[in-house]
Amino acid sequence: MTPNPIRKVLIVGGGTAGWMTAATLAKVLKGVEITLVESDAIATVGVGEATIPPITTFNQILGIDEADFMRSTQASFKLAIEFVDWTGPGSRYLHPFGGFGLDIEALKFHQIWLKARSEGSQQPIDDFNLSATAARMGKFMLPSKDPGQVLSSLKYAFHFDAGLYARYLRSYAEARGVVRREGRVVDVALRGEDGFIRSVTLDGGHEIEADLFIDCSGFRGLLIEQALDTGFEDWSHWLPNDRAVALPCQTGGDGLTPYTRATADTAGWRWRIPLQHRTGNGYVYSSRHISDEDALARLRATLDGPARAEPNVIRFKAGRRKQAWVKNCVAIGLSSGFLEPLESTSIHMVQTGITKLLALFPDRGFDPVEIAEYNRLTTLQTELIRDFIILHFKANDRPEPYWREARDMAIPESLQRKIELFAARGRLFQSDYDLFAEPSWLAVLLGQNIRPRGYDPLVDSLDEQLVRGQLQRLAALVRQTAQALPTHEAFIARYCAAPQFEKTA
Amino acid sequence: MRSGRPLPLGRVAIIGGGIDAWMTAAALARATGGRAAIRVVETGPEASGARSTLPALRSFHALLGLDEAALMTATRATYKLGSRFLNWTPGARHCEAFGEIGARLEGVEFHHYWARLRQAGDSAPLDVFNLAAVAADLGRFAPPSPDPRSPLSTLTYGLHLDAGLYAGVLRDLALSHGVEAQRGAVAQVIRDGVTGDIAAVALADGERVEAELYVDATGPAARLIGQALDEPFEDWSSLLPGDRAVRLTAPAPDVAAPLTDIEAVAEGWLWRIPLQGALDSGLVYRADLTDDAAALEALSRGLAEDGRSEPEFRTLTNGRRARARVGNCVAIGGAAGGIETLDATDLHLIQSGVTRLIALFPRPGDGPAAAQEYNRLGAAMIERMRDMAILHYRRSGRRDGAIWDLGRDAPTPEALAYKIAQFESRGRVVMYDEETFLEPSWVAAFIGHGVLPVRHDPLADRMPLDRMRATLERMQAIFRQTAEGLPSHEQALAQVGMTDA
Repeated sequence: MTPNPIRKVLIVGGGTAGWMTAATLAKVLKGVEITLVESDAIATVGVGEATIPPITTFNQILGIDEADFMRSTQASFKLAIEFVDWTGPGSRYLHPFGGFGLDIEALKFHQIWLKARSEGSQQPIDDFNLSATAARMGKFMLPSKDPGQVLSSLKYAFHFDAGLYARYLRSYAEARGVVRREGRVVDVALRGEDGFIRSVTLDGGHEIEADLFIDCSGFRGLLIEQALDTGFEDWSHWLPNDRAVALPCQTGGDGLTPYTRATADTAGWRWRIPLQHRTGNGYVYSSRHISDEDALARLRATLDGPARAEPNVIRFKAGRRKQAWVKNCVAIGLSSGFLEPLESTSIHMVQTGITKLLALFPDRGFDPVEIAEYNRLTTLQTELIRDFIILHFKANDRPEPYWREARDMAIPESLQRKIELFAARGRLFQSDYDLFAEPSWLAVLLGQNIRPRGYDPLVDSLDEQLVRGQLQRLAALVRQTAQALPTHEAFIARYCAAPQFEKTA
Repeated sequence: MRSGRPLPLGRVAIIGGGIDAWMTAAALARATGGRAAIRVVETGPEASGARSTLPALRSFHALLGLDEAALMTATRATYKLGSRFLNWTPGARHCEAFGEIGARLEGVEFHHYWARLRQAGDSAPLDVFNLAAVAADLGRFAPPSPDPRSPLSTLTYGLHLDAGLYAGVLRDLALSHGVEAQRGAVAQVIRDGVTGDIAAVALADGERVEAELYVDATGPAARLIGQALDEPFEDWSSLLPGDRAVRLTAPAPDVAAPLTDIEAVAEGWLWRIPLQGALDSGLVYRADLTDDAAALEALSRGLAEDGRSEPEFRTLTNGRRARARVGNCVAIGGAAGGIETLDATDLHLIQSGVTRLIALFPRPGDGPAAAQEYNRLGAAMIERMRDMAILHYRRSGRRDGAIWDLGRDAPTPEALAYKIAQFESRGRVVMYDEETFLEPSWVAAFIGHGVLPVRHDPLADRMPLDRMRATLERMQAIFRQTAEGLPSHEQALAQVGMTDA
């Protein structure tokens, strides 16, 4: 047996990060007392949230029934993100889940497609991705488990109401023994001998001790920063957006799309996340380039329907906590760093924080070895996500000062190298630590108008006639498969409709 | 010279010989589908001896369209389930087998349970939880089962090959795909006065070989990239002590276990690679500590006198070319670098170089990005391989030879030091980008060489000790029974129609 096992865990902060952590620890750990402190007086940031496919693994680990969870969180399915106006007015592209086409021996499919395009083919690469094709048609169905079926290539995630999601996980966690304490943290006591956290005190005077503290308190980092002075690495010179205003509205416009939309605007970008009962909207912007009033006015002007709440302004700074794990405190969620939700990575970063914590679960000795590895992985993973997000801003074709500055900025060397390699002959190599696999980079590089000057010369070794035929058959197969699916709305209506599900069709 | 219309993928000149040259030629011929003019100038060195290989080579064969049974027959091949390390600490032995070790339980890697069991006083070695190791030790073999419920589905294997015959198979394959070959010797490498690229290779008979891409497959001599282009060599002799090898082949009527033996002796380490009817043995040693005569004597201990081949000596250089791809020249195999073949990595270095060349196939006028990426990935890969080789030396418990002191006391590269510290502290296996060896290989190497986790994952404590003990005992029994039910290595080879009946 481990001689000094962790006996008590205290999670500071509810919200998505806090309750995801509480639920997972309650499920996985045995014989550990888990307490979560949150205050109803402190608003959580969570708005309409979009996720990425690994969330389904998270649900499986918890043993969550998908339809039940979707019904409880007003959720819809997500197959892609649609990027609108990023390379000029009217431009649009999809970043879908899943891969494109089929590789031929050692040749990547997209290289074959690049050659066809260089010879005048107009066929979009989306025609070779089922998630993208279904997204465009507004269709959805759960993927087939039979790898021989085209439908098995469908990859999906969810849109859901983050507040309801936290509530859902709270019941899950409380049912498994997590104790929730209502209150605001007013004091954090450190141990004199080593500076570890000993306890936190709530506004009622109640003091809670623990072996391991998890900081899910959001941007301010109540424990990791305010108590432990960890420091913050500022990335705002790459990602200048520092505010968001969120405003849900009644469903309208294109309705319940099975995809998120991210529309570039004068000084940032706007999200549109369709849920069953309403649509989540927000404008992420740089306060140097637009005033709060103008940003809100712009958001209001672009809503699909009447607003359904008061606007909520969120302030932040892009960057990461220098160490996500210090002493006996692990920061999970926004307390560990912030990247704007352009690629729906917030919840995923919570998930990987929890996964890493479990893989490196400490004992009361808090060996520096676990801490070093946790921080090394967090840094690598976060930097790769950062690069991917910077790419969207760097490679734009918009005229406004905000966008010109983004185009002219110096970018991390790791990203520069990737762009140059792709711009030459469409080549991509992936780090094992990168959340975003080749197809994701491909979709965004192409979508942001980085058009390779050439293609892999070895594609010339293939029989052109044969390849042309194969491409046509493949696109037809994808199209037919998508066409045969039910609409997203119809599928939700029969699979996981919440009582308030409004049909807009 | 080839005449007629230029081919769309241009001309490739491969200068050198052996597996380096022919693996490159065969793979490029396949990948370019007849749209490149590929020519091999056979200047040597020739391949000799035997090679122990990794499972990844088999996927390369599949890509080349090589039939495994025919290949095995043609190269006197035997199966390989892993490597057995003997006497790296006197009296110790362990197996670094392919495939999985034990099974993940409740989301926690198996070796944490093993570590916990050991802390509880049980002494079952890790090998008994590795089906491949158990089977190999019993001299048994079967190909992996496609049924995921069968323990046999976790098996995977490599091959032992006769190097000269293997080069011949690849040569035939390349020639059948239109590769041209000629014997020759390099007289001079002519460089472009402006770019510094290779403009032509002048042969001793006066012929000028011109191409858009030159592959240096001349082995450690690095006739093109080293001698002509002056690309520096990063020397790792301060990290790995072996610098010379002697080998010979002896007849072996019995089929040995499907394993490569890697045995430490006072002078260095011995390899024994079983082939059909023969055994290839060698010793890696250090020239300033052991002279050739003493090395040969150490190699010959315990080997039958009759029918032995002449011993063959060669110098080894641990290290890598600073850049393996420079201008229009790519070094593949020994010309690009090498490490002591403790872990059967030499063919893998060639394979990964060729695979990367195919993924980044150059055309005149390409910018520097592709070459930079080629070099970045290649450097990372050989460094990770090197780290595995170093690990064996660092934890050796031998005190009977100066080579072992050198191996133990040499500096440990930072990436490896971090890896060792992580494993030793709590059994965490750190995997970097461009790793050749998968997690189970690292676990087997660490534990086999005595890097034992002081602690284990506390999540492994969730299972009550008696239940865990029973589970592991059952697992051990299943592996044992499964292995005992497999055909012998000899029978398995006969099934692919290879042994003389």
